Amino acid sequence: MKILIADDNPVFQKVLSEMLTQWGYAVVVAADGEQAWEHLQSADAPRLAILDWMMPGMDGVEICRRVRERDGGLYQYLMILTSRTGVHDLVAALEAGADDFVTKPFQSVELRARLRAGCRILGLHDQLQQLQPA
Amino acid sequence: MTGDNGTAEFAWRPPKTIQDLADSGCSDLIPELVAAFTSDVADRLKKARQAVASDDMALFRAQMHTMKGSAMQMGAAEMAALCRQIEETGATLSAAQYEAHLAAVTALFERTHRAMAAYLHQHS
Repeated sequence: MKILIADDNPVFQKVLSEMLTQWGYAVVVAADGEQAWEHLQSADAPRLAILDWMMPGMDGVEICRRVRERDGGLYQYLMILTSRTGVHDLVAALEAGADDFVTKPFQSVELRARLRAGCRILGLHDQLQQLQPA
Repeated sequence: MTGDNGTAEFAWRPPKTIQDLADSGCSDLIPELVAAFTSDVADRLKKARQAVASDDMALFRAQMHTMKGSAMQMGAAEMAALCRQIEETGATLSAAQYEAHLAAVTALFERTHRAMAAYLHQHS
């Protein structure tokens, strides 16, 4: 499973890259919102993305909104990673189309469990797609 | 032990998340993360100074927000707390007050950097 890490902070880029690689995921990194959006629209786009909220260019919530506005294509599981902790922030992210919301600083066991949940959702979605009439 | 300006120095150690990751086979991770953190914060402080000079307080608070996040992840609790306090202060401060906040964050970052460097030296 390929995962997109979108964060302009090199600390989070490095920590997340190392973690996800150790857990067996393939990783692509975007340093800003525009790069992240390009990755998510590409032919071999990641199915799962960890998006920082506040990034140069397009922010993570706006990326969620644009992904959900697209027609067609495989479902992409979007996780917002942010140090914003307010309920209104959580609601805004989920309403924009995020599937999950993780606060910084994150615990590795929590992130790993949430990624596994995301992979389960993607698996169920793919099964559902296969059941659709041609 | 006190620093040059009489303020107490403090010790730093990597938080568990990072230590566990380093212990899992990434032996160079902690020095690399300290270098990344140091470089990024220096860049953010520069942007914060530019923001104060151009009266762009939204940009100033954005730098505090980002530094808060990485300081928390790096276990730099004092710096994270100060950045949070400044971020949450609001948009009604004067330029002089923003400059004072910036000076405080800069001083705390320098102490944090010394603490990180001391840890790396002890564990090299």
